[in-house]
Order: sequence, then structure tokens, then C-alpha cells
Amino acid sequence: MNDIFTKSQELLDEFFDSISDEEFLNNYLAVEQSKGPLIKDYSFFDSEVTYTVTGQLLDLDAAIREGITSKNIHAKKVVSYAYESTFPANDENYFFGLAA
Amino acid sequence: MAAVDILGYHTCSTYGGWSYVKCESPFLSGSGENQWLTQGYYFWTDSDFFAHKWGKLSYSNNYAIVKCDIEIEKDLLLDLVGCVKSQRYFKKYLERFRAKLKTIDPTQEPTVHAFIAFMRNLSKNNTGFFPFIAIKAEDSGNKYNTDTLSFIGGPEEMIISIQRQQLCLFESGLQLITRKEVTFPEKFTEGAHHE
Repeated sequence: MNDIFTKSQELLDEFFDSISDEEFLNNYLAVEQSKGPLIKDYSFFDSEVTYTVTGQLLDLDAAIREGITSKNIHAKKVVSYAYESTFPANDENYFFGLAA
Repeated sequence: MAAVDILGYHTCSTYGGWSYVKCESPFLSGSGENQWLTQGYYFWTDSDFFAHKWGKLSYSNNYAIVKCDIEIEKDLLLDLVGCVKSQRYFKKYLERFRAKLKTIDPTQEPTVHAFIAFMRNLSKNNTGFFPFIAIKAEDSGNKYNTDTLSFIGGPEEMIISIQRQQLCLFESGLQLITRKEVTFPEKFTEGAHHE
């Protein structure tokens, strides 16, 4: 454990010591923009799958066309997967993601 | 290298039926910022207690539980539950991340998710930055950790008798699941009559 932790800390110390604000911002934004969407109010009605994304009611095909689901989602292989919106949890607000 | 054996209970929808759950589980989470520990395979650890709670809460009782044996090299698990060294490491760099973010935008308050996502992105080019393949964490929400008891009668130091703990196994660690078994619902289990 020591070797891996030590190496990681050396790299991270050097990173945070040396990175400029602009570089950090670019890194941060790149990560934020690469994330998938928040999908909420996701529910199943037998074979019909509907859910809302950012307030719009979409069907699954439309969602895939819009690139909303992650790349490994297949229309015929969808299950729901749910986690709270933030950590620590926001008890009142559940968002739903997809996995396949 | 020493390994840690973890018993994980994965809650998922029953959608697709028993064969789908049996063959395809566990299911990779989404990648949105609502994923506590970022994208991965999520497990409630050690007991199916919270797996059932989660299934009832999130799937209106239409849920399955998949019990998995997971074997992780100790070095590659960031254990924020049982390892103070990991906790101090995490806090140190979360603070550095926060400080840097604040210099750019004082209104920004990073989440745990945002920090881990940033670290994982750093490690794409050099895994040494953030070498972990799984993270174990627990939350402090009183809604879920309800059983507290004073150690010696005073109100200040309490033990939480049951803590909600999760493991997020990153996608590259899928092969670390050495065994899996659907344990709920009964009709999905081995030996049950599957239609």
C-alpha cells in the first residue's frame, strides 16, 4: 500500500503545486462536460419505456437518438438504476440513471 | 500482494426477467453527476439489508438482488470506511481540489462525485495519479443510519450500530467478481421454477 499511496501523493502534490488556474479550469470543465445526463422520473410500463430528461418526456428511441443514454445502452437491454442526486444525499430528490 | 474479499449485494430492477438479471448483472451505473462515487458497479456491502431497503425505495418492490464475491488487491481499494490512511489521503486531496476550484470560482463547492471524477480523469494518462479500482464509502444521513447509541451515557459520542456502506467497483474491475448469485426474489434464485 505504501508504494502506491506514496507514488500517488507525489504525483498529486506535484500536480496541484504546479498546475495553473487556467489548466485546472480546462481539466475541470473537460470532466464536467464528459458526464452523462441526469435522468429522472424513470419508470417502466411493461414494454413501453418512458422517462423525462431535463423536463422533457421522451421515449427510449428518441433518448438514444439524442445521445442521452450512455454508449453501452441498448434499447432492448435497459434496466433502471437509481442513486441519490448528491453525496451526501438529498433525501427528497432522486435521479435515475440507466445501465445495461 | 494481499487481497481483500468483499461480499457485495447489487440491487437492480427485475426488468428483463430472471435470465437477463442472472446473465447480465451486475449493471454498470450511469455516468451522470448523480452517481455518488462516479460510474461503476455498485454494491451494498456485507449484508443484503440495505439492498432490500434500496429495492423497496427505488423499484417499488420490483427488484432483484445479486450477491457477488469480489476480490480486490488491497492496494487498489480506496477504503473510506475502514482505513484512516485512505480517509486522510482522500481528505487531503479533496481539500486541494476545493482550494483550487475556489480560486477560480469562489461560489463553487465541489461534491465527492466531482472530485472523484476529476481524479479518475487524471489517471487516464497516468494511473499512478489515482490508482484505485474500487472505492468503499458510507454516508452519514440520519434517514438511513437510524440506530445510534451512546457509548457511556453522554450525548456527545455515539456509535452508529448499522451504517450504510457501499462499494463502487469501476468498470475495469468487473473481472474481480469471482462469483455471483441471484438471491432475490425467490423466483429468480437457483432451483426455482423459471418461466
